[in-house]
Amino acid sequence: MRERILRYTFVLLSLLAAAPAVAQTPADTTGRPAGGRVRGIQYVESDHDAEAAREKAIPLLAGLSLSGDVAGLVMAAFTPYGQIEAACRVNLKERFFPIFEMGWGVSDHMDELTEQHFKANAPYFRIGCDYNVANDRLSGNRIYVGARYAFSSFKYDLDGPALSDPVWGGSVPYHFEGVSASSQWGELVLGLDAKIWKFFHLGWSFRYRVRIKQKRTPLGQPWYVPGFGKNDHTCFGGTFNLIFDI
Amino acid sequence: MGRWKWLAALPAALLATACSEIDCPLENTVALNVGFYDAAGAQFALSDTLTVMAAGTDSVLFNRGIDVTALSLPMSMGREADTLLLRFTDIDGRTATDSVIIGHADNVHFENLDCPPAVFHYITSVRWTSHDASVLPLAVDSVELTEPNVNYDARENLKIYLRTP
Repeated sequence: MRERILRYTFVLLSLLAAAPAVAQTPADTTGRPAGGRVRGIQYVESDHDAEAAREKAIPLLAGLSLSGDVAGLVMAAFTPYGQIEAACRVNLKERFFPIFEMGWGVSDHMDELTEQHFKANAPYFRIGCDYNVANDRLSGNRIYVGARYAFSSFKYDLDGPALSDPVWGGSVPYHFEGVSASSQWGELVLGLDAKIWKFFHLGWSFRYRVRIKQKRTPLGQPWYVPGFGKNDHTCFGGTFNLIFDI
Repeated sequence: MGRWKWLAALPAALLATACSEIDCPLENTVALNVGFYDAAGAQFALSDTLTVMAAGTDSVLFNRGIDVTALSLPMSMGREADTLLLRFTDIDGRTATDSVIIGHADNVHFENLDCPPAVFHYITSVRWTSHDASVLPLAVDSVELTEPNVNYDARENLKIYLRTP
């Protein structure tokens, strides 16, 4: 028992002796809070500050660019349909890029099996905005996400062999000229631009198109919609652009 | 910078842009769908043999059917009206013929360049004839137009009510 009392007394005295050592923190001669105190040489992050300053200095209207789509030209030359397309894009603080696109869709195609021939030449228009998600806005390289509203009003021709009636006899002509149609659709855009040389950029965009509205005709829906592509509720497309800052 | 240029140029090889294909519809038969009913309005299986012919042609649209409750028949592509001749033959070999005259307007329907075009119809009028019961008890009593559009939708277009023995 005596031995235990001595042991507890020793522990208690040890704790009391240690208490002033814990409470005695070094005096702060700088007057700063202890947590924020710095020892040694502190370097200012000059690069970061400079970049922040440069980004702050980007004007609201940072530029204007014109672009042309090469993919549409290639498609027009080698596939059943294609387009000639140009765009004008405004650069707002290297972040927002309102854009107006217009083009001329062309299709002149005959199916070898059914011998149906479709022909359309008409303009289309798109308006929308891209947003540059790249961290470094000043490099001239951009990654876009964006959206478009697009519209086309057009006429098309459709013809093929007359439809013969094997049961009742006779035939029905299959020849239609100047069938009026119109279509509205939306596009989600994912794109990329790379600065190649001074005012010249190269870029591409990948697009997911969704039909919003289409004028129905007694004949049915057109095979091709200028600017949209082969007619369906949804469609994938893309552009490969030569972009010139002006 | 070099990586950006490659990224920008890469899709040039991939830009053969492709849209989702529009396949030809699986239901691509345009036919007049007819159902047979008794006077009470219940679906009726014909007790006699039925043959349907296209008047003005040598075409037999339906040949010697028994226990028929419904039919799908082709309509003409250019005529203003089709006359269907319904010939009933009983077990004793007695024969009687009724006519159903269907007025219609046609329009060509385009689906896709890959699919053959079709002709859709819109039924504008229906008339019929009924033979005398003394010739054969089974006869056309009346015809009701239930769906005027004849297209890929396989909906019943006409209800033919029969005078049954």
